[in-house]
Amino acid sequence: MNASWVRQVRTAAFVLLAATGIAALAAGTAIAQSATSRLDEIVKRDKLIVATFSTAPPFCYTDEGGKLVGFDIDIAQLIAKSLLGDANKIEFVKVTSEGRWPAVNSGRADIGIATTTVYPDRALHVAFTHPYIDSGISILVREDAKVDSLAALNDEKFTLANLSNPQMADRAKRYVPKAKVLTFDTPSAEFAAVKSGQAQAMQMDTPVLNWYAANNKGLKVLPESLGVIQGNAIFMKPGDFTLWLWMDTMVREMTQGSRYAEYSEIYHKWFGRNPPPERFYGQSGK
Amino acid sequence: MSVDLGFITRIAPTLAQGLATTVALAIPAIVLSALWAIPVVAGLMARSRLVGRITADYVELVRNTPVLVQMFFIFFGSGVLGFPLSGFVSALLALVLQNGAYVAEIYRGGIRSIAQRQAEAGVALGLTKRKTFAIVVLPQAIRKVIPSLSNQGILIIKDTSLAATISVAELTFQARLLADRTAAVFEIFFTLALFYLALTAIFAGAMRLVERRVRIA
Repeated sequence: MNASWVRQVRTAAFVLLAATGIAALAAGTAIAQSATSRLDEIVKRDKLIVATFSTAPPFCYTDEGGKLVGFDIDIAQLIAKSLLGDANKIEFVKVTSEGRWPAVNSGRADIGIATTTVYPDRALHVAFTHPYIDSGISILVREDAKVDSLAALNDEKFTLANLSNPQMADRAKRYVPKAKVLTFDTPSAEFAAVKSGQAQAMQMDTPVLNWYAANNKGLKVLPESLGVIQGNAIFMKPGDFTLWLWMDTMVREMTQGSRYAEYSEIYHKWFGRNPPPERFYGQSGK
Repeated sequence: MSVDLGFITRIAPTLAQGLATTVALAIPAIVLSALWAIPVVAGLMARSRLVGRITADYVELVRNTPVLVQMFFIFFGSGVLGFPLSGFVSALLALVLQNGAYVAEIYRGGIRSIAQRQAEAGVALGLTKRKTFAIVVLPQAIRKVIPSLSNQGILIIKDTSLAATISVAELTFQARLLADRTAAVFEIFFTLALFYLALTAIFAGAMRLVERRVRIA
């Protein structure tokens, strides 16, 4: 009895010691890394590593042939082309909703482009560029649920599928507080819940839902949107100003500068319409 | 990156809510698996070849498919069939169906490990086969399977985390929500691991107590 206690205490002490060692090591590397920019590393490596989703159409998903495609994928390739001269000098790391943060903070990926909405609390732990596309949140419903508005959906007999991020939970409480809620970790599982009848409705980024409704029978998107226009942005490990500045400049070049033509082409390819204009005023200045 | 202890104390209450659901799922899953395994092991060891065949096929089927796939199958499948089961019930069913099969195999191993000679000796002493099983084989078999049962219970506790994917608000589910809100993934999953460690340590400790209690000599 006594000997086994001693052994247990000794094991616990060893585990504690090892954990402290790992933490100290991690702190040490963090300081070492901030001396040089990740941007130099990308250029030297001649390849951009991007964390992205594989289950979020039409932004980043896998097509029937198993190929990663979508608006975000094309944007990432445009960035690789602008940075390294070749759209194929890129590697994608597929991540889950909460797995996207450690993907960039651990250094596994250089940047993340994963239909990611900017929120202030997220910005505490990752660095965001300015948004490269506007986004909003809408609701997709089964036609057989016979729901035409948010007000009609606000009923105990309906179930709303959410993605496992708390903003979705907040919105559900605010707009349809009476409806029951289910929560999933991927958009595809959310969608499966609606298709299988476990839920009658789901909330998701408007472009995603438009895409689902266009490609499936018996589904429609409610005309009202939930809340305001939000921004989707590129994110990376905070503290690397050189990398952030380059990425932010790239976003500005795409949405209102030298890369606008290519950006428009990608936008049109996935959403069937043009992006917002480069400037609200004409060049002639009238 | 260093660990922010204040942050961990802030997230602990939310994780504790998840812990309650995890416990509420794990306890019936463990108890029902242990109970469901009794008819299964009876089927496996049945004299009837047909019953043995059917039970063995069931064991192979559930043992050779991932429990996550079974959860999806039950959860989404029940929706398609028009009687949607809740995520909690789907997860419990999948855990019991799969682990019942594993536990049945553990029981079988325990019973088989008792030498045939002992059963023969029992019969020679004038006991019926049933009596021999009840007072000679079973008491020894039960003691032998406790360590394996403890192991299986720990596996069940950890597998409850898969229920997060079908909207059961257990520990991992709450951790994911927190991680997505704050992007402080390291602190959250570190705390999550501690919660699971505490849970499995308590369970394993309890099982060791049981083991010591029932030990012969």
